[in-house]
Amino acid sequence: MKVYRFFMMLALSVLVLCSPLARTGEVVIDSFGNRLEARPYKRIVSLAPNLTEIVGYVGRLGDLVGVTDYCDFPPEVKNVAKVGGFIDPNVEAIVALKPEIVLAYRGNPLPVINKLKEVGIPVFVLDNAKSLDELLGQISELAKLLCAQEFSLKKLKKLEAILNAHRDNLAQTSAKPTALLFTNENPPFFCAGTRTLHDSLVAYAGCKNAFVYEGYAQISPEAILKSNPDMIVVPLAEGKDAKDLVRSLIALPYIRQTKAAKLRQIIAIDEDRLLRPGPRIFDVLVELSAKVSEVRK
Amino acid sequence: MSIPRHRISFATAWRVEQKYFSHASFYDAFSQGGFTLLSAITLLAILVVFIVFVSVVLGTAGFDLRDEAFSIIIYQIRLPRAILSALIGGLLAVSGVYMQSLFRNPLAEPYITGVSAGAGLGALVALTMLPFPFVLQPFVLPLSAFVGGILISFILLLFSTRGEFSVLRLLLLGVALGTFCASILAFILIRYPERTIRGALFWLFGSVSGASWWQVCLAVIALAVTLIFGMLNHRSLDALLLGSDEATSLGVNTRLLARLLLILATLSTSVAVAFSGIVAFVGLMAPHISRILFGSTHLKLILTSTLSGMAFLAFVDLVARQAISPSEIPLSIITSLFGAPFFILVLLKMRGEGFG
Repeated sequence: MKVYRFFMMLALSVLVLCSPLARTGEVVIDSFGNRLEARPYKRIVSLAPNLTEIVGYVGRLGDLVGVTDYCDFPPEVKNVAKVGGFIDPNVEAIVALKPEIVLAYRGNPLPVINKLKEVGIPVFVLDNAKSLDELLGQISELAKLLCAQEFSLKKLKKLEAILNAHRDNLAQTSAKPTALLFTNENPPFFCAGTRTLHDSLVAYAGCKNAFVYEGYAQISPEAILKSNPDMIVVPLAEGKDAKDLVRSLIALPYIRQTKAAKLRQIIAIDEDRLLRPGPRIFDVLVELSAKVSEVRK
Repeated sequence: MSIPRHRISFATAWRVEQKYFSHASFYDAFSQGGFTLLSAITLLAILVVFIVFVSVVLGTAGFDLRDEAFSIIIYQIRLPRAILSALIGGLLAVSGVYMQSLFRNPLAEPYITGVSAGAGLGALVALTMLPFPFVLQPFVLPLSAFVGGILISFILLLFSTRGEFSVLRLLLLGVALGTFCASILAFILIRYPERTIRGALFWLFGSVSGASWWQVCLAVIALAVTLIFGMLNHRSLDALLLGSDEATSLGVNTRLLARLLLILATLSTSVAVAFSGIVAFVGLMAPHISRILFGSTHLKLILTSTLSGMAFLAFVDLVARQAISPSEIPLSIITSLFGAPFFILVLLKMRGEGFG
């Protein structure tokens, strides 16, 4: 029985490896363990800004019929119907759009997801990605689900190439600059800890994360001082000036004392690009890694 | 537990109202002549049906019977949602009636005694800390809410049976437990921001956007059980308002009655929280408005507050859906807007200490 299963798995993986383009009817499994059929879905509703970005990235923007109030990238989605917010999507508005599939992310309310399934709409749910590799996996799963690999194969390869180009940074054991990545811009600061997407971002960029808590958590002024990072990465809200933000951070005594402030390595990055688990975070990696090389010199 | 009819007259109950619920002067005019039990129930039932009907007609997607997908919107989305919101209003209201009678305190209700907070905390713990895989969350979440609520009322129960039955102590304990839960809740929010800021808001402020028929069925069962108990024991409940000693002398097994009341009040609250998250103050407002309008003997009170709770929450949910459509306002934001001033009003009008 075991041997049989092994050969089945082998045959299956050979099949998957040999066919770069997903075929209609192939099964894709979401984070709930639900099996969904890959098809060129024509009416897609996205319940999260990062999923909207991914759908746009794999070239299926034209098939989006509904997005959340927060979805603003790519700019074309401004004309797509809105179905409410991320934590309060409107079931009725979604059903009225007659979607063939709904894409959801962790943080969308479960009752809404269950309700949609109940009325017979397939829902593809993804959990928080805990690393850039996992995120890339999610993006290609989504491309597979929407049968969009034809259009996006090159783009996915590009993301993979970015990761591979920085993979050496992970293995490197020599002294690395330390970094803190804040997820908000005003005190009290929240910081990305281990086993998070942003921990992985920092690691790929060639830094050592100075915050060793698991998950995202609040970081105290003392902890900031004590960890004394070489770099601090902060999200920059839309319409704000990066220089103003850095100035306001340096005004805080516990940040002024850190090496990051002294070396002028407080880096403000557009919050949507930095914080959304979507394709744009790979560009952030490239930028960040360039900054890290600067610090090394 | 039931006592002969002649032993507790309407006059006794009326004196009880005078003693514990100060707005007696408002409603005695009504309760004597204005509404009989039957007319009050009919009026309120019509109101509930009317609000549910309006909720079914109004909605983001409009009203277009020619559209095929529209029957799904009516029968699978709007109708169960409207009915569930009404049922949750009823559950919270009847829970409020029982707690107010049990604690002989006009300020008691599930939100204030900490039972709602316990259930909410249970849900939040499931969302963040329990090592359940993501896959199991749809099952774990409601169950965990129930466990949290039961745990809090178990602690309440434990203290109520030890030594003297002290009403004041129970209420203070409820406040302490509620605050305790709230502090843990806040701590979890700070410790686990990535998950909770998004997922738990639903539970913290109340919403019925995911209503389905199986939830409606369970809520109907819970409400029926709770109501039937109250209707069978309404005379004992009236007697309880005189104080546990007086009630005992009238032949009521107060200890058993108190335990059953607490269990049923918790059951109805937990079912409500499991399906809708924390909805504040409904259990306070519905019984008081019913007392003012229809009188406070228990048979009347239980039925009329349940129905007014149903009408109120169904209306609140309608506002929650329609006010800033297609986004929604959490229920507690609206109920607290009405509830907090109401709470202060009750506090100001309370004659004496308000508890026995």
